[in-house]
Amino acid sequence: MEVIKTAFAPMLIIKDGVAAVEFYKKAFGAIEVIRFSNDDGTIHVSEMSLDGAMFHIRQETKERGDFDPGTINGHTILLELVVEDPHAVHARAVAAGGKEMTPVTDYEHGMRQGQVKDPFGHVWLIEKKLFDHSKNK
Amino acid sequence: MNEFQTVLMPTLSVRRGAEAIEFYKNAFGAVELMRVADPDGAVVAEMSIDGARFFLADESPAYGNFSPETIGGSTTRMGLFVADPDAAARQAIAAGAIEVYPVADQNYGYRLGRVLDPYGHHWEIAKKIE
Repeated sequence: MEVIKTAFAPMLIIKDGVAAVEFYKKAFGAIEVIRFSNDDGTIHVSEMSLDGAMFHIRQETKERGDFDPGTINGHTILLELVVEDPHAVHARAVAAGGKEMTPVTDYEHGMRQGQVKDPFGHVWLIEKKLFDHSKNK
Repeated sequence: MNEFQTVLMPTLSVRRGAEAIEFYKNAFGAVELMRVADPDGAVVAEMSIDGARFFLADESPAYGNFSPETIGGSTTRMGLFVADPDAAARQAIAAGAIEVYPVADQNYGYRLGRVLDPYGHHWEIAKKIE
């Protein structure tokens, strides 16, 4: 039997889901696994895979409290993306149209991190752990 | 062989962060891995649910980090994939989350239900079914 590993799959609320799918493909090499469209051609929900890490894109419905970050000029959840090569992923996301908030930097707390805001207002902290503090305890 | 696993870790903005840490322990069996507290009581914490890591932090509206309570909604829902969504949802509701809709087999191939936590975050608790 397949062992199911507990994992987060954030569901990003976005006004223009069709554009978002294309952006995440270009920026992160994400794959669209399946799309459920609304009658007007907008995306209801798309399931995406980012090198095996699942996330979803969902159409904004303000009356239900699902807000595009642009609508509220902020966000309620930040996305940390742990990757093998933060420099490459960060550079690709910026080249695809993401806005660099912070460059990839090695921090004393043991993380290599750089932040990108995507064109839809979601903020991604692209990172990897350089060393493990817990091993020194 | 390359065994590196790409992972997504959400960071939740909340009000009453210290209280929220206790809620997530009770609701999802989360373990607190790290906590940094400001003198004013604001916290940043790293938590793990059965190995799936997430963070929570008291909101900082000046940086665009809003708690769902502040904006009356959210920009991202927490999707949580687990082996037993029924049990996970039951535990969350027993701890004080509100059931939005019960866990059931959905026609898009997930067994999934949704709860709203006391801090305004929506959790879609799911597993894939065929």
